[in-house]
Amino acid sequence: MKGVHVGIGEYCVSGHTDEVIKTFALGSCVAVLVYDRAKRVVGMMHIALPDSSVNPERAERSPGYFADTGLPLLLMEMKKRQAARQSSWIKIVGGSNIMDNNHHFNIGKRNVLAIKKYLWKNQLGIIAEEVGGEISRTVSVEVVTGKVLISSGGKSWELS
Amino acid sequence: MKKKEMKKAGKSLARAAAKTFSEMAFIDVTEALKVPETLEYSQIIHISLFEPVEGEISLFLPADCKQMIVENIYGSDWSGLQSAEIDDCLLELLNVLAGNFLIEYCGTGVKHDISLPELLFDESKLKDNYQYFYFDAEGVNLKISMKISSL
Repeated sequence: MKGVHVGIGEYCVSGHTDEVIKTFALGSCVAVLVYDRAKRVVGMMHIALPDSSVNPERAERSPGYFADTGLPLLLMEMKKRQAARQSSWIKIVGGSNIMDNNHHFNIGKRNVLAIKKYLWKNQLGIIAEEVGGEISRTVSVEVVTGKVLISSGGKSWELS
Repeated sequence: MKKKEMKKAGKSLARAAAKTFSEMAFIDVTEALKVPETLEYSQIIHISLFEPVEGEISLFLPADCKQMIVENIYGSDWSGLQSAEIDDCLLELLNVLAGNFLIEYCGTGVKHDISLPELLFDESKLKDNYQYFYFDAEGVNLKISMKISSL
């Protein structure tokens, strides 16, 4: 299968069933995965920060860097590919506490909460998540099946 | 109450607040790094604990914090909400927070008996011997007072 790499603040929406969409080394960042099983369309975004107000210029250049500017874009792109709510799921991965041991500026948790808050306000929910902890995760999703694989520290497992 | 026990209760309260605010209102709440010089609050919500410990918890919410909680829980704008909806939401938040505190402090599998939460309009009803805990809710400070009188 062909691998497509999503970098920090980037996103990918694909309906090519020979592709695997992948993002590497999620620390406090969060990967948002959307999959329409009827259309076989995957959306993945690698979100770094919760709120674009800290750097509006960056949000202009790279909206996927922030939850509040990235998520509307990802959902709009999924809609353009005819993805429907009824046949789609959303999963999230990442949001670790790697950088901050005292938890006073817990970016990972803030990212997760900002994503959930946005989805909640748009009547959307997450069906599976693997967030928090103190590990760095790599995540991939197959377009043909929607199978999500997480890997970290030499091990890999499925998020179902 | 012994100092050690109050410290344990404070840690339990901090964990309960973080869990309750994040799960119900998507707000990251952490213990404040320092006690704020002033804290203007627009709402006090109170609940009594009867079992397995006796005590009281009161939540002092500044207007900004109150709005953030309510808008996040309902997923809609403040202006579109009725005052009864706002009150219900805040009362439920404290109800859940008190439950989470008892789980943190006393463990699971223990019977809880607590009062219905109420809005408090007269601060003087809060008696002495309260411990005050300050939290940072994504840049907005809030205060929780707590008294635990028996173990």
